[in-house]
Amino acid sequence: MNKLRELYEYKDLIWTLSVKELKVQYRNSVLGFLWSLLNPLLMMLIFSFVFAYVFKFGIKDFPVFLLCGLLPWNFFNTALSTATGSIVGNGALIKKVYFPREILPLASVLANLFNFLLSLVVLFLFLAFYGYHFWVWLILLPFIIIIESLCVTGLALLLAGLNVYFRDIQYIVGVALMALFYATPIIYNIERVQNSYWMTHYPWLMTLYNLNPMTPIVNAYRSILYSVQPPSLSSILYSLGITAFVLVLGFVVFRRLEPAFADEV
Amino acid sequence: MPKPREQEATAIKVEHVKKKYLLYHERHDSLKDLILSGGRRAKYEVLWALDDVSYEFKRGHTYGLIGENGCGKSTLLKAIANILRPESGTVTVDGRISALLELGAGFHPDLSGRENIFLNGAILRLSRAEIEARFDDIVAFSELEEFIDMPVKSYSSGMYMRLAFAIAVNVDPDILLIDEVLAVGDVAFQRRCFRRIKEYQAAGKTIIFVSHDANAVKDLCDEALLLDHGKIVASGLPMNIVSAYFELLSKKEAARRVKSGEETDVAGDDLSAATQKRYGFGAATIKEYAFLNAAGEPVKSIKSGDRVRVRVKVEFNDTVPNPVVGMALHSSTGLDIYGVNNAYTGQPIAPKNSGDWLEAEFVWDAWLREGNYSISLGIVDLTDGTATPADRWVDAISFDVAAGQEIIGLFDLRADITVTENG
Repeated sequence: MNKLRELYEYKDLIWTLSVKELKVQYRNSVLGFLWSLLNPLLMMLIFSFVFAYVFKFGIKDFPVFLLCGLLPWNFFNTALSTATGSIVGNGALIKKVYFPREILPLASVLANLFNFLLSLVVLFLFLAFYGYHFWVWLILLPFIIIIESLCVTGLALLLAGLNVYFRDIQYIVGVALMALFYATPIIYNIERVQNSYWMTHYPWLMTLYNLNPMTPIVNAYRSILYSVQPPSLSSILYSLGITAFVLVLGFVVFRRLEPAFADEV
Repeated sequence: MPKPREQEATAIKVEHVKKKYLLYHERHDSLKDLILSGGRRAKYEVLWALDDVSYEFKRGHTYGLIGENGCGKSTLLKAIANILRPESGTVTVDGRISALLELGAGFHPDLSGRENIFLNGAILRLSRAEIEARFDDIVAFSELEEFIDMPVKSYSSGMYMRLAFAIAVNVDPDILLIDEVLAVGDVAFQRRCFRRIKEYQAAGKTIIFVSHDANAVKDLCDEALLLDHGKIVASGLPMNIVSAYFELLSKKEAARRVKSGEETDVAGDDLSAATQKRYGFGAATIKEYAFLNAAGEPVKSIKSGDRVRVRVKVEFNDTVPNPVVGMALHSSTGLDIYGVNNAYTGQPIAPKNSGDWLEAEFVWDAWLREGNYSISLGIVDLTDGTATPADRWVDAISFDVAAGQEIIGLFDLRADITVTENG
């Protein structure tokens, strides 16, 4: 609790560092922050071409179906990639100034959350263009965004802390995120997995698949925006549970590791 | 002026703080190393950077931490700043602390001067509103008005330092920790830095600073702490602690020489660091000294402008190829006001052997402000550019100067004032 109060006292620094991360990200590029919108759009074009036209997945309005999963995924992906190296990358600062070390991964998460919120505007335009009544359950969307943000925060603290001691973590995270991308129903429908031969014959595989915290989160986004219906309560409760676990784990591990950061970075 | 200590509140309380460093001979920085080693612990040596350090820093005082490289002074500062966590012991801080361990901490080269002010200010614990309130002062102090919206990567290193310093001095903490920051920058920069520190002192802030500059410590601090091998070995008046530091250094130098077989007749062992005011290798001894007026009579007090003679008699116990005899004048705060020797004045003294002697007289006009002064005397061997003290007597002489014409500063430079006026 003391930690939370201290973090609140440092809110100006969290804010300033997040803004810095955003500013630095696109400084010296011609299109600047437009890249945070262009990037998912270009990804959507590529995936749509491959999976809707070449492989003929037969999913209705594939571009919007994809974006509903891809945008939350990008937030998860970029936030964790940048947060993992945030402590090591700011070693000079850690050695010279005191501030709650949690601030560095938190600022990475916050900066990427901002990018994500911005990209949602593009998604809304697409949904409107395709004639989806995405506003019906929109009231639930902030709730899902908060759950995802907290889940990302927990993982970010965990990985950023561990990476100080084992620099291999940042490489493992890169590969693990790529694997997780395919283990999350982003480019495909979750029913396709549920009804597949392997999953029906080996239920433990399905359990393993469901452990991925991003699966219920992506499904919730898609249910609100694409299917236009409230996400199932059980899946929300399930991701709340996972998020609470990850968040506590992240904070506890980080606190255990943090005292020696200045000696180790 | 410092008040009696009993009445003062404690700003920082350091209790039994221990901090160790592990010097690894081989270490596991990656999972591969850890797995290949089969979970064995890496081999290391333990180095105690702080070894059971306790001290109470009083509010409103300025403290100087001195000691050799690696003595633990920066580690102590970092422990107080909460950057390093000690293995045991506690640090209790009362008040907002600001640590200037690095100027421009967190500056990002791609961001503009303006953006970096907000970034660095936030890192130094200023709220956004506080930075906004001080923004104009910071820019004015840095004299970078025209460049403030350019990325700092286009700044010269001087401009970079000016901006960093301007932010640092506009942090208005209760407790200020400074680590060697004064050592950077040009003379004008350092003077501004000192002036700002004096303003902080006048405002009753607690300041702790680490420095190699003995004069800065003597000039700025009420109290100095000498650290060696992670322990506080002496604390007290800066002038005493600085001389204790120099004694410690010469003792270590002597020990090093013995180890490497350079010198055998060392008289350093019987010198207890903090109390002895006399040290040297014993190749020569100051036998007599005197502080005389123009008529050659011993005196204890003089008037400003009086001609004085400082007479020193030295006897040699061993061969000294290049003897240099000198004196230094100190203010009551321990500031080195003036020092001179026959090497500076270009008057070489012939090589001396055991049994030889010499007598030197320094005659000068004491155009000093009223107050108490002291004189240190020394005979050193200056061979190959290294001065080896044979006998150095710190604060051997003490004398008073009576009030003369009113002046500002330490010296009466005897200005002639010519006034041209109308009417």
